[in-house]
Amino acid sequence: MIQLHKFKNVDFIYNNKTLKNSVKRPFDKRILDFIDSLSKELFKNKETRDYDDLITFAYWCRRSNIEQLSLKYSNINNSIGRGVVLHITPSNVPITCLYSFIFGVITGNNNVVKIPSKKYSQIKIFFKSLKKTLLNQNYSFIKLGNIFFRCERNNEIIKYLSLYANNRIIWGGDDTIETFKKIETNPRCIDVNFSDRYSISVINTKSLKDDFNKKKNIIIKKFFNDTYLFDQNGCSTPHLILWHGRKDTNIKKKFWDELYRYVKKKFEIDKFIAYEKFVLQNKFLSKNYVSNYKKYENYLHIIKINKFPKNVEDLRGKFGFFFEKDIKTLNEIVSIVNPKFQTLTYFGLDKYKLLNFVIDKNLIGVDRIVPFGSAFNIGLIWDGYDLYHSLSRKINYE
Amino acid sequence: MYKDIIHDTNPFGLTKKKKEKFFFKNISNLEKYHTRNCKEYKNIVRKTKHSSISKIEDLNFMPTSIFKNLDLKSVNEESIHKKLNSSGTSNQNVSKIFLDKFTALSQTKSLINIVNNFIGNKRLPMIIIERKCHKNSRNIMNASSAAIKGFSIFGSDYFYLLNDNLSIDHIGLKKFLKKHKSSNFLIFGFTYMIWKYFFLNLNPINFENSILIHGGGWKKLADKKVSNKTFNDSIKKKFKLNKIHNYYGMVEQTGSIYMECEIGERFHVSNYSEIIIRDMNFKKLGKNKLGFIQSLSILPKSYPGHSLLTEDLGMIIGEDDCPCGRKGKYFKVNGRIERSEIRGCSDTIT
Repeated sequence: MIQLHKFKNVDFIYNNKTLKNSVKRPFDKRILDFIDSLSKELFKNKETRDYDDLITFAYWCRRSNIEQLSLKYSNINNSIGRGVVLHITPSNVPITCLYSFIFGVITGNNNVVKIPSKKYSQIKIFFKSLKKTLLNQNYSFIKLGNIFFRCERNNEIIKYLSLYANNRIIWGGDDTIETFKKIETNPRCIDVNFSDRYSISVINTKSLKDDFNKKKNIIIKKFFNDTYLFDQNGCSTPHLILWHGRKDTNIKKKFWDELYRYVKKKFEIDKFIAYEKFVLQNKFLSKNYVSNYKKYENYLHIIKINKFPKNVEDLRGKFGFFFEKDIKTLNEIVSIVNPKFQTLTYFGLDKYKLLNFVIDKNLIGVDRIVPFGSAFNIGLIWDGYDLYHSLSRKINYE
Repeated sequence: MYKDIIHDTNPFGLTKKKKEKFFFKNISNLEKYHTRNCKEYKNIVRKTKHSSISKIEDLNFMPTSIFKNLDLKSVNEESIHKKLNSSGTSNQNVSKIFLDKFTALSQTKSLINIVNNFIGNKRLPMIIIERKCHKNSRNIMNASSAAIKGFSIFGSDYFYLLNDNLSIDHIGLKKFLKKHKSSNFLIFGFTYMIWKYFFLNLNPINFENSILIHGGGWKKLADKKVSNKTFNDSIKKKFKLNKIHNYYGMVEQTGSIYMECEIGERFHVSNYSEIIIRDMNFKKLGKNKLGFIQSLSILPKSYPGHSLLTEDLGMIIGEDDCPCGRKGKYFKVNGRIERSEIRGCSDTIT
């Protein structure tokens, strides 16, 4: 049992300050029931419909999806949650804290979740639905075994919980992780750190050309969702676009033209964004490895590079600012991949070939290989970690 | 060309046509110079698509914050005489400005010409609303100490109002006032410091014949709902101080500052600089239209800071016809662009 009454300047949701041990097997039936009920409550709430990210979350929580996830794991019988998971979640995106919480629940743990100070509507709606779900007595183990709170990052409670927690999940940049690493933890505590990452996109020119006329709307929409939706600022959003295969200037132009038309309808540029992109434009044009650039008003900027710079992850845009390069074969990127590389989104390439490429070439980066439109599809396997394994304890019995 | 600048004692004497001709000739030469001598700048200009350059607004321009991202020099390392640093308010990175002797000198001379036009040639005992500058490195200076040092040429004797712990040095002030009993003073400081320490923390003193010069922006005061007018009225009332001049300038273009005239609420463009207002797509805007302020200066020679798009918003409100008699454009600054919240997941700071 944890008692958190003594901590000041902490805002506890529902004023819940005690946590009672209720660890379970991962994917326990009661857990699946709870998550499914939560999903239903979220769908029942009309406010949910205003937020695409919340709808996606509610959809992800459906029983069928969670059951599907569980199929990936055998021998669940001798697994149990590791205990208390402390979640340090990102402040500038509303929904990640909710996924983080569910990951902890699915794997059978008790959770103490530090949520963003900013009062996002999505989180407010989530808590409304959670409260309703928890009226069902069957879910009292969730009510007793989970705490949500807001506080400054230097609050004493973080130190206290770090010493107590069996796992910490820390979302944030390298600086944040460094700060939290300095805080003492219990010797058996396992930290799962989600640090700064870099992501790219590989498009096969021939496949795109073959599909473009028929499917351009869906292709562009997917690319938009992978990039502009989070201001091209999430760790899995691509910055570098590699045109794979035969060089085809025409299809590249068609793609960018079409993207521009779509962005102009869907994305709003303000003065701040215009200025930020102007700074990036000047910064990169000064480099010798940049051969050319194109811009579509302030909606879309494309910087063409003629060779890869030393640290490719410096090629980072925002609000729709991309770097592009032609590559004949994937071998050209072997030397640039480093441990910062997270997601490779692809179009018109074979996922098995890409997987084998990463493994056969001994690449030390690339944790996710996903098709266009899936850059932000979060799951138990994320950033190279399998949270099911990181968050559960295996009991050896003979 | 710099000879003209340095010897011309009226930096507000040129009317529209003459100014355009004079400025375009000088700024185009400077543009060519930087394109030849700064390889990063050359890269930028070469790759940015420009139509033929026949007017000032056709020239290339860079964002002021480019000096936070790149070390830009148009002279060789050995000629660097001084380095200016600014932290800026919105970014943790520091701007680095490299000055050679020639640029530093012409910036000082033009500052003298501009400021003298407002306060006269006489050097006055100066009260600086700051702590006495701790000597850091002689060759590296931050923006605030550079500004104080720049303006100190207008003083004959100096007094720093604040102690190291930001308390007011009342005894020192008394002595200083006594020493210069019959004389008027030049009071200098950053807008916010003037308000917080000079206005709010001093008892009324008769500064009837003194001059106050302040700059640095209104952001902090706007947050406290103190407008330019409130600022001036309050100080006039409390200290009988009638001559108050706000200035607008940037560390990237030291020297060619923009001063507020006696009419108030307007900054005057001198012969050394030019202002263009641009919209969100960086198209030139006309009079009374709010947009990004582009500031051009013919002074920066050791670094390509001659044509900069600032993060400030403003509008041109007139040209050649200010009742104060100064020629050239005059404009208003309406604050800085607001940062919009960036979505993403790389930040856990609450």
